[in-house]
Amino acid sequence: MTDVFLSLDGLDKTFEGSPSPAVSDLSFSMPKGEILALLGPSGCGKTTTLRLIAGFETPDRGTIRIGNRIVQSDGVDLPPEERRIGFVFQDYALFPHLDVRRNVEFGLSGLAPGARKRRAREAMDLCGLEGMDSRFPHELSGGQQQRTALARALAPGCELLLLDEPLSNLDAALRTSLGKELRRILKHGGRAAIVVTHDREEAFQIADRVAVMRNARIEQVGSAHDLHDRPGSRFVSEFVLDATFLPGVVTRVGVETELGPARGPGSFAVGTKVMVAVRPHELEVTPSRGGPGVVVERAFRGSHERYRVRLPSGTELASFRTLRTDASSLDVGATVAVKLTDPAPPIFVA
Amino acid sequence: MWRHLADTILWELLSNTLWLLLGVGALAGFMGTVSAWLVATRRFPGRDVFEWALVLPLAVPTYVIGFVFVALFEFAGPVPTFFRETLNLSWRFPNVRSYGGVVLAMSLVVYPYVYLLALTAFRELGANLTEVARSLGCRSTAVFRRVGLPLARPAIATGVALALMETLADFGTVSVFGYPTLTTGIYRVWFGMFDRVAAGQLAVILMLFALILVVLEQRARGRMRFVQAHGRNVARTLPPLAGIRGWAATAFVSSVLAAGFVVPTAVLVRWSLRAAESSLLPRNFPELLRNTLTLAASACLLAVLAAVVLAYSIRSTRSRALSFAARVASLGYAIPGSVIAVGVLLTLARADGIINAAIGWFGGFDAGLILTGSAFGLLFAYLVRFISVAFYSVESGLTRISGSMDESARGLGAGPGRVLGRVHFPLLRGSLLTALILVFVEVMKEMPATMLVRPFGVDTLAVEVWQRTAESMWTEASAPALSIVAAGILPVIVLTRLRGANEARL
Repeated sequence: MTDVFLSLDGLDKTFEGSPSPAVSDLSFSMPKGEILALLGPSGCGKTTTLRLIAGFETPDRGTIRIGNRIVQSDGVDLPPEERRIGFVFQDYALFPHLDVRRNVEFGLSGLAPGARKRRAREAMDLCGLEGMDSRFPHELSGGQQQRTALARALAPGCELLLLDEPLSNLDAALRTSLGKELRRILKHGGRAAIVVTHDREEAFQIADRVAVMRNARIEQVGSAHDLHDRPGSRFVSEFVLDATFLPGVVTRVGVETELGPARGPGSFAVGTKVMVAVRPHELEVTPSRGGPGVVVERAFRGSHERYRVRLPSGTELASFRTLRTDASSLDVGATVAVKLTDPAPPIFVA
Repeated sequence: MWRHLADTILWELLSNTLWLLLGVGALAGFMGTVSAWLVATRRFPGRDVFEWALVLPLAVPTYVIGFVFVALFEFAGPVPTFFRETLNLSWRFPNVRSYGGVVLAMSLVVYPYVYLLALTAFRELGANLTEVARSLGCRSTAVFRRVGLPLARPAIATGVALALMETLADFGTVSVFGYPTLTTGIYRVWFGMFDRVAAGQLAVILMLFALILVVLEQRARGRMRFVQAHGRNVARTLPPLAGIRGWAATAFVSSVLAAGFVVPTAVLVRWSLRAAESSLLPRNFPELLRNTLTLAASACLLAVLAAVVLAYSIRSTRSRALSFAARVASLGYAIPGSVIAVGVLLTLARADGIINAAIGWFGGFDAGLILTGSAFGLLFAYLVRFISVAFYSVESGLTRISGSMDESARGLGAGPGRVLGRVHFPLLRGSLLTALILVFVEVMKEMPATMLVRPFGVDTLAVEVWQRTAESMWTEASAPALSIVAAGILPVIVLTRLRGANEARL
């Protein structure tokens, strides 16, 4: 990453009256034109991070650079209106007293009328808002409101766009289609964007890289492949990869577990107790009279079924099985044989 | 009759009333809106205290601040005297008994209506819209002009309409300031000229003003609903107003509060003490207190009872005619006490006549004025004027009890009586108490209706205040006035706590 566009360095923020920090020693950077997703469970500090960058909140410590400007550091606290950042709120925050066109033109008041009109037109066309000019926010569908909020944030031509849970207020079908389009729109013009979300599908669909956050800190930043192949922590494998965990002990030849030996890439001392991360599609479950596993839960997931299997030790693991008409389905209570197909599963200290 | 009225005073009364409304509307609107915006969006020294304290002037009836202002600032009053003699300034202190004086005094106690509604509006429109506007390059003044003001306009209009209803109803201030309006005109024509028809005609004109305000208020409320679509994502920390600008905000807000509440109350306390020392307290003070409390207590029980019956009838029958009737009944709050007084008196006088004729026809005794001469007329007038206050509280309590709650209680085997006692009463208790307190204090404060309709010889605190101030006996008026202000603080606290509870529930 030679061409750093946005960088955060050692940001701390604790809200008044809160016992724990909302954001703690947060640092990352991104180049121009990249889309980064901040992914994490609710309350992990991802929205606060976004608001710190936008200047809506002031950090207790830390530096923020955008382009070649320092917008936040000791003694520098540029107000939001001077940071030139577009912001899209979760609830869109459209101005209810203005129609679509005047919402989009809101940030262009410094321009001459002709230029203003042209810029607003471009942003609206890019976001698919043709013919919506004189509609008021309450006359728009959720998707159209989202597009308007996006066009409004894009119109002033800022180089960084921040989006807080942009798709969470939409229904499932719309979420997928708009997710793709969102990526197209964000990529247009080569501006950088940060998308906050708690939905990993959404994060991978929209973003180039994903930063996984937990308890006010960033656990790992990487592309989808990075995260899948080398999850940096138990939390990342659980939250991002949907993994369950199998206890084991490191021996001279590998890791000894209830399901037999599993070879891992870790370099742990012999005798260390570890957890093997089992990704659901890497666990094969087949009907078997003698067990040793028992199906305790099953859920249809459209193209596949997700089973929860209990091993004799009490450990429960999750497994995906593709649904095929010929394969028999497994009922709760069925005994099954369990096999780990991953040749090199991620391993963490227990 | 019209010709006579028009020739003499009507035009003066009309234009005075109109100018008063314009002036108070503008000034109270300005004070309420600006302080609400500051409190809702910015951090500045003392903000958390001002947030609730700015409502306190609501406890001061207009006629109290009126006479305190006149007493302080008239030529022989302490302030101009200080300027003249101690500071030896040749500058002539502006005459307080002027248009500007009336508007200022009135605005200082009615602005909280605007403040309260605007504050809620600015809050609900929320941090999100403000922040989005700032990220699109707006400075804070531009945010106010382009987002805050247009969106809160319906709420501000509603607040101004309420403030103007209070202004229109005022009798004490305008008479102390010697600024004749329709309200004082009614009193003058009724008692000074004994011209009931002319008083009735003036009352009709005043009522038209009030109805215009009602229409404005209702329309604004309608638009409020349309605008309130957006979320309540309140900023966790308000951005600070730094340095000198923060202190400027504090100065503005505290001077409004000082002039509207702190100074008048302090002055009243001082004068009451002085009156107590030099035995200038009204000799019949216990009797005044007893009369006031008895009237207020009976009126508030009556009003709440009527409101409960009305609200429950609407709930159980869902009759559209009934809810229309309730809407009409609840217009009373907009109609000045003097108009209601004239209406009640004219109606009851006729009823008295019929009753007397009937009794006489049966060969009975001379009944006298059973209705107009007794407390019945006065209680009836209070009921007409304040039933809406009780009705709104009860109704808002009832809407929180959903029909499915009744049904699930019935499903669990509770009979109608048990549903009422075990479900409704506990849930309604707060609303009923609120209604009682609000009506109680409103009745205590009500001056014109009491003066016009009271039975002969029955004096209350409010009447005493007026009688003393009419003779410029400020010290003597201060103790009864202070009692009314003290009672007036009660509903302010109740309402503030209610708001707090509502916000906590969200």
